[in-house]
Amino acid sequence: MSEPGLVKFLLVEDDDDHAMLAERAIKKARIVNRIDRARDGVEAMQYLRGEGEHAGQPLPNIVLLDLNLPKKSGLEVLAEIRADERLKGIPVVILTTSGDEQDIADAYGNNVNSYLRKPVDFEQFHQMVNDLCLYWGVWNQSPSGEGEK
Amino acid sequence: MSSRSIPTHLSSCEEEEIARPDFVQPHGLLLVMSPDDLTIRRVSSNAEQFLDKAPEEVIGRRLSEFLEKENFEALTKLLNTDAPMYSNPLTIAVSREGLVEYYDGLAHQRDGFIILEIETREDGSVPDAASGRSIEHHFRLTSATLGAIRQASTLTEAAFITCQEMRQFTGYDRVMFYLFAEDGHGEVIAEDKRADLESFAGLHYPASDIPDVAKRLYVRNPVRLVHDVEAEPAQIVPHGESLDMTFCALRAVSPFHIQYLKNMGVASTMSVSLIEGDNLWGLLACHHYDGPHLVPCSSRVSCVHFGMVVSAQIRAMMEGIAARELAERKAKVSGEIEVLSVSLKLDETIKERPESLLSICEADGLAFLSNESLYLHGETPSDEEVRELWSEAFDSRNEENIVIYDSISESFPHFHPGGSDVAGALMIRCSTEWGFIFFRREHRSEVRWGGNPKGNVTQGSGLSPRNSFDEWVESVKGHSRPWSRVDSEIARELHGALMAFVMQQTVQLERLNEELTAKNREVQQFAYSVSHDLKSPLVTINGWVGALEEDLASGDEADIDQALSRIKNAVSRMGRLIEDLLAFSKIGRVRGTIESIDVDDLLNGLKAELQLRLESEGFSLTIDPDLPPIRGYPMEIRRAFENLISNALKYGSSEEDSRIHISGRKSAGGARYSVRDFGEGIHPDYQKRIFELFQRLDQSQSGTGVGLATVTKIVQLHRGHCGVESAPGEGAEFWIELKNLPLNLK
Repeated sequence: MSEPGLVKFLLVEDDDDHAMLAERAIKKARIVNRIDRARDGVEAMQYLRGEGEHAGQPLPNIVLLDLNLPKKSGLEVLAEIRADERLKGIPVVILTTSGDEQDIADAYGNNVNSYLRKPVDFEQFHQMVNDLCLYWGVWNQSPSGEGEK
Repeated sequence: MSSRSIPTHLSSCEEEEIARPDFVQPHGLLLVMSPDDLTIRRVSSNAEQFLDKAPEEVIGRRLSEFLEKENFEALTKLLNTDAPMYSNPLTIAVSREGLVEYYDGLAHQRDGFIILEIETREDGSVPDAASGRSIEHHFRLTSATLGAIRQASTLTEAAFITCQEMRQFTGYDRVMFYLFAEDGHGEVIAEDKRADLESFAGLHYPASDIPDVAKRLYVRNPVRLVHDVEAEPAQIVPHGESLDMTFCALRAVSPFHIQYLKNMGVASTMSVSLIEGDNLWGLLACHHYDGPHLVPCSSRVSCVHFGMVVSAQIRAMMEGIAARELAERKAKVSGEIEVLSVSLKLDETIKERPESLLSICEADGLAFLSNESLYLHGETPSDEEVRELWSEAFDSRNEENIVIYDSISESFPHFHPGGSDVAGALMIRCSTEWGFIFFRREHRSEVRWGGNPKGNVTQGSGLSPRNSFDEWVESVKGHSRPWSRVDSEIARELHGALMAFVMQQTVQLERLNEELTAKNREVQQFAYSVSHDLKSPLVTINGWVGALEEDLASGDEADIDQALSRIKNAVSRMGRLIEDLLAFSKIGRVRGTIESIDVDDLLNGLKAELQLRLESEGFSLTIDPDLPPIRGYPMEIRRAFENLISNALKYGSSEEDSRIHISGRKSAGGARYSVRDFGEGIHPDYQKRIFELFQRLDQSQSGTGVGLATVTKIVQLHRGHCGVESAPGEGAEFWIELKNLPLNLK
């Protein structure tokens, strides 16, 4: 069971700068009260499956997933989440610099919930992250992550 | 004696009627006997003339009663052999009023009977002398003629010699060499004749003059004598089931043919068949005009042999002529095909040398169809007409790939090549929309017919033989010079070669296509990676600039330094990326010359350059001595090693061991080198991925993800492979295997 009142995001991002900037924007929106970060695809799956140091970790309300990741790509992570009985209900939002048609098609082919391109413009980025937090953290009703266990 | 009437129609039983007339020519006697005891069952009505007895006195009696005893015994012995026909002619001795008369006899079995034909001998001479003379005669005829034919250089000349010899041997007024064309009509290609007679040489006769049924009989019985067109035939009595007279020399001539001969003014004829296999390809036709002319049995047998020998000799000669022509033409074709086969662009090659293509097919015009385009050269119909002709000739029903028309307008009556003079076409199809048409101009010619071939038989309601043999000149229009067997052989050669060419082109095209697809994929991947990875630092820079502005506006100065240094980092990362990408894109595009590279020298130079960095990062680099050399692009090879060492410097260190070691050995056609580090190692799952562009395992390090992709590209340029052998915690050994490139490679 997730903690009541806790809105937790998992940010899967290999680039430290992008991660710091995203965290900064998310914090500014004042909706999400916890952001955990994974630096590559493998670490993301370990986190979600509660392996090793991540044991007992409640599931995040949402996964913000970059596509170009070391070790295991974002699309692979997405496919594994969707193939995992326990994880498949978690909303996944792709947050990437890629606007490649094939990437978008592949992401939707794996039942992604949303696909967002990182805008180069700082204002736009903040607006996007704010709306994202509001939508997924407040308005949207997700299934309880631990429901099936 | 009943008379015979001219049939009023020709039907399917025509053959039956011709082969079973139940009448004989009256210059001989025909006896039909039971095979066991040679009892005479039927006899021709002219029996009295030979046996001094009326037919009814002969029927039911044995042959022995009429022959000399010794002669009869000899005959029965002969008839008991397996193939009595080959013993013909026999000498038949008949006692007449105490005198012995000698006849030629022809015996064979048919319809379960023994059939014996008896003919008057030319001079009634005694047997031994007669046969001896005939054999000598026969030899002289054939050997002399063969010798002369061998000397002949043309078919006409050989045919003329044959006619001369034949006429001399048989004594006819005229002997003609009659050659059948493919459409069944005949042409007199040579003749020898009495000087006062009008010449028939060069005349054509319609196919209907010698119907197929008659041709079949000529094949089975290769000599046919019509002794006297005026003689009344003698019926075989008593009436019974009609006898199969296919092999009877005395078989009566059909009234239709008698009338035909009379109309032509011929009194007596003989034909000797020229046969190859089952194909009657010609006749030696002999005419006599002033009255009956008898060539005795023994001479006729010689004529048959003569015909066989001459036929073989002349066919061989005709084939020899055709083979020589074919060989000459084929030599031309193969030269031409060689030119076409080395050409990469067939259509351009064809356009450069249309005349030589025309000459190999002896044509006046050429059309070359390739997909949508049509190339015309020389005498051809219009573009539109050529396309129309193509689609009509090769419609869905036609499976042939080579079609030949001597007269296009005869095959396609609505086709009128308006502006051109084209009449004939030889068409070669390689695919529905790919092929050649060779055109020939109209060749107006005159055919001299022995009588109007179109006005020959029909008069009133019934049939009657044609009665006009006056020379009738037909002018032939709308035809080209006919395409010969050699032409169609050439077309087949050309078709085969073109098909091979098309196949080869297809294979080549497929390979190019594959290469292009691979290149395209590479470019797409490159563009994707570039857009993603170059954009990433832009997002960073803009992000921190924005944050900086915010902080400055709010007076929060805590993070300013961090923001500035992050911006600087991102800018320099972007600079590195651009540099690396530029270098990467140059590989294989900007090449130096291929040289033999001393890898020892190269690596030691590189080590000296990197010395400062090695020391500052605490690495030791060792290089095995005597590394094998490699032949390739020096700058690229150097860059490959640089990237491998740099990779080891970035990712290959561990706390315990900061060594880098380079080794090498010869491999098939080149050499294999390894750069070994003792760092963390690489998990097997990622060993392939790290060689792709912008793939990094660890974002914290300073790499751009271009280095190993660069190595891969350089290795491919040197036709080799690369890879890594590693296990987590045990360091990594990156290897490259290169081939020696030829020095003159472009």
